[in-house]
Amino acid sequence: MRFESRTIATVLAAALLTVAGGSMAADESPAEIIKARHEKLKDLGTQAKAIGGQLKSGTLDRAIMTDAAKKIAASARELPTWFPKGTGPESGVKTLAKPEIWTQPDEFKAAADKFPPEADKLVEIVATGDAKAIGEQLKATGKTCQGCHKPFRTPPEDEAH
Amino acid sequence: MRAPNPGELRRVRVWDLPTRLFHWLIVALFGFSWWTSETDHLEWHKLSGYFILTLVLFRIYWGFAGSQTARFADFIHSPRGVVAYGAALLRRSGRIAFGHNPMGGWSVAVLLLLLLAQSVLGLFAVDIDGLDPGPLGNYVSFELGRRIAHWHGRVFNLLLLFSGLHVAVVLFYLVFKRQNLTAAMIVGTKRVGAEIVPPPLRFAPLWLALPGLAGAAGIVAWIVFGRF
Repeated sequence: MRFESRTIATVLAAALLTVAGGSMAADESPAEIIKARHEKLKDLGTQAKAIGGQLKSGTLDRAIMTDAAKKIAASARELPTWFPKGTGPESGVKTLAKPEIWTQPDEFKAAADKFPPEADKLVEIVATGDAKAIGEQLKATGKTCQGCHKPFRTPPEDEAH
Repeated sequence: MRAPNPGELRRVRVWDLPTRLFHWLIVALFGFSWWTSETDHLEWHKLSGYFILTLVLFRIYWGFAGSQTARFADFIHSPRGVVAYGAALLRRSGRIAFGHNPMGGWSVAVLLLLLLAQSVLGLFAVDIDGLDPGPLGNYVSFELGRRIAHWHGRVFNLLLLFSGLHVAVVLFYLVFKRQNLTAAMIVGTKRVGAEIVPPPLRFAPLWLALPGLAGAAGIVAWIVFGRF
């Protein structure tokens, strides 16, 4: 009996972890998930750069900035689900995600949770069109990117930061 | 003029002030750029890069308008000249160069080109968060900007390699050939035996540096503050 309940507990735990770990569908390989993750993170960079670009050029196109900020806010919520178990370096697929994401899940969650509120605020402030405030909020949002990148991303050898 | 006594030394002016200032400011800023990159001080790193770009643009101007020993025409030698000089490199009594020697001239050209490439790449480089691109970042996508940031890292390795070689050769001259090139680059003069007759060198007036410096600073300010 003991043995059985342990098995059930293990299965339940595994199921829970899979749910908590996000959308690791059975037909998606780690390679596919990692590739999709890279694309989504690149898109985050693209959106952040789009807002900064509007500030630098002085164009301040409200539609472009709002669109970008909304995409960032949506991704900010999804982001923890982009890192299901089994998609770290142990998968053998090239990724800069550090194993600590999975060995220190509480720290990772705490760092990731800082992102959505700042991104939401960015959406609000972009609507005001105030370049200075947008710049400041973009920086504040960026701090939450770095808050994850510094502890949980391996810097590549030849990286200029 | 009395005849020189054998073994007597005299000072011959070789490097003008702008060339020397350029050299040592680049040394300081290169170190500072390295440190700010390692420690993630991107704002300072960018500032340092703007100063380096200004100095390099000025140095290119000075390579055409400056004193004789600063001019490209004076220190870019033909391959034949380089080979001839290189063949005599390991002789202690090789000839003393007033200005860059034929091999050193190319080393300077390579270092200048690398510094120029490095600072221009930095203008387009994009950081991992897409939040702090170089001032010309709007001309590239996030992805291309990231790739440029990687090239920026690779060119830095080349800079380390060539500046390391440069320092090694300067040490070689000091120890093996007993020529203190560093001191000459600090004070501008070279101590040579009184029996050696230096070639007549032309020196540019100091004020001639100003238009070049203003032009270089203007170009960089336009890039940094312009709405691109």
